[in-house]
Amino acid sequence: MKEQLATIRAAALEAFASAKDSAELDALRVQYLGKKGELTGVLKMMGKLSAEERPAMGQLANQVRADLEAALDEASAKLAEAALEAQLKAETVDVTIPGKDVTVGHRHPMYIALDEIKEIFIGMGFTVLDGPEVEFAENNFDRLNAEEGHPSRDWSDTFYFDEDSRVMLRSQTSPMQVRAMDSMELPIRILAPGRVYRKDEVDATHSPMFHQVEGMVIDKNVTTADLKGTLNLVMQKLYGEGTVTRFRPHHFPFTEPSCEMDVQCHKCGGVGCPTCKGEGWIEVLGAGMIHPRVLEMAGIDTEVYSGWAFGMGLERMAMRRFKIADLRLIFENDIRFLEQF
Amino acid sequence: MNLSRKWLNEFVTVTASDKEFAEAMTLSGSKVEVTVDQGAEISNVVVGKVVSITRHTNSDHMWICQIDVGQGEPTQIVTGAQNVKEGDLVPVALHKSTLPGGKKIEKGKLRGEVSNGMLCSFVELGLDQRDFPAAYEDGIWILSDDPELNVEVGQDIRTAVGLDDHVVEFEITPNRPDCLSVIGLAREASATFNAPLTLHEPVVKGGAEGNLVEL
Repeated sequence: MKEQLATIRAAALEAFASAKDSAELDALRVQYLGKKGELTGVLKMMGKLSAEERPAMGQLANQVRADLEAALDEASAKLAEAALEAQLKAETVDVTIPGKDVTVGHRHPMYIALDEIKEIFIGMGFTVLDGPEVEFAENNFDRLNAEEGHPSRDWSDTFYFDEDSRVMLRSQTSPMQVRAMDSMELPIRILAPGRVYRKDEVDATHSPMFHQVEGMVIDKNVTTADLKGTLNLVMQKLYGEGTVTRFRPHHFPFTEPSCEMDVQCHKCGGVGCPTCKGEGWIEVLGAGMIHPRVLEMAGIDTEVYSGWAFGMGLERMAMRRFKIADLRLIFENDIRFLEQF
Repeated sequence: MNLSRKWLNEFVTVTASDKEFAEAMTLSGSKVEVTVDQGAEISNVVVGKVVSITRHTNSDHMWICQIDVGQGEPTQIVTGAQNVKEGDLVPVALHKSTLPGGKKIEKGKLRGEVSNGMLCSFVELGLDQRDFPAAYEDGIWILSDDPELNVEVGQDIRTAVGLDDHVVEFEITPNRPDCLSVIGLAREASATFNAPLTLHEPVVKGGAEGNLVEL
């Protein structure tokens, strides 16, 4: 029996040491120490031994069992450690690999400029309106006091859809003044940005399609002081405190008196430099007090109400603000251009 | 609308510089787009008289001219044009002169003969047929052939042909068609600068009594 035990012990130890995984080890455990295991089998035969041999054999058998169990634990621990190593290795993340680039969208510079302008006017209680780009000539000219012979009505300047020149692509955002007066209750304070169309060749400063922003106020006791005050304030907010503005006499069919407003060149302080083309002043918008005929045609009593309006070129504002030299860049939508904003 | 300052002076005297004039007119309602100095690109070009003209020794199509430019002895200039004759008054671009287009003229030798400058066509002076309908296109501008020009030997060409002028370009709005005339802009200038306006008083010729219709 001693030899049996010794054989089992040796064989088991070797088997445990060479077990490849815990499953195999478990099987070995069952093989040697289980209910029908080899060691257990030998121990069962202890009953056949004599009384003197039993204590010694029992001690030896227990020793072997203890050894095997110890060896099992050790092997099991070793396997667990190896398994953990393997797992750690397999799950390692290389933190030096560059991350995946996330592509983010960009706002178009012109709309950045427009949003700024909108914010300023909304803050003063203006409502932002939108309107059709395909407009009646009536709204674009007649209702704005531009009679039939006015040069801007010519087919060489305006896109007409019909022979009778009644339907056209609006050449200015001023038709929105008419639409506002027709649809809103007085007093009115509106801002109407949008696309306008004129027959122009495409070059660095012209395009058949461009954008304008229209503004209009109609209320009781509105004067030129309100026009100058509001527009001056808008420029302070857009270009910074201390911006100097000036108003020059001009002419529009739908305003009387009419003016154009300039902002003093920031770069040279009015002396003249390449930025302002030596003028010292940069033209920003056209404005004026709404012509009484325009109010009358809209059914507004000119003895009670008066108003002022302005129109500004949006591309110009954006191009100057972001130092974009060529108008075509605004419409081409080249990703390399858009990514810069 | 283009306005010649020289012509404006016939109606109102404005001594302001181009810049002052532009700013004042713009602020009073007549927007100035740009001002062009007509003779800006021309310098050291004078009226010369052809004293003598002989064929070039080494070329069968060029001529050697002795030109009196009012600076002492006549100076020799070689030209390839075929329309120059003795006694003609012509524009002479002297040594180290400039012409429109950034062109610079210097003395040199043409086929071995000294040429102290260049005789000019009117195109080379930046002019075209609309300015001087009578000027000869394919050769040197013969100033003496033009009955309306009164030039003198040695005179600066700009003064001689009227290029000593500044032209102001205005943006005229549709509500001011009166500003599409020199007299209209003269009125505006007179009001802007508070200067007296002198308009021509038309003189009626005739003298018969009764209606003009019956004359």
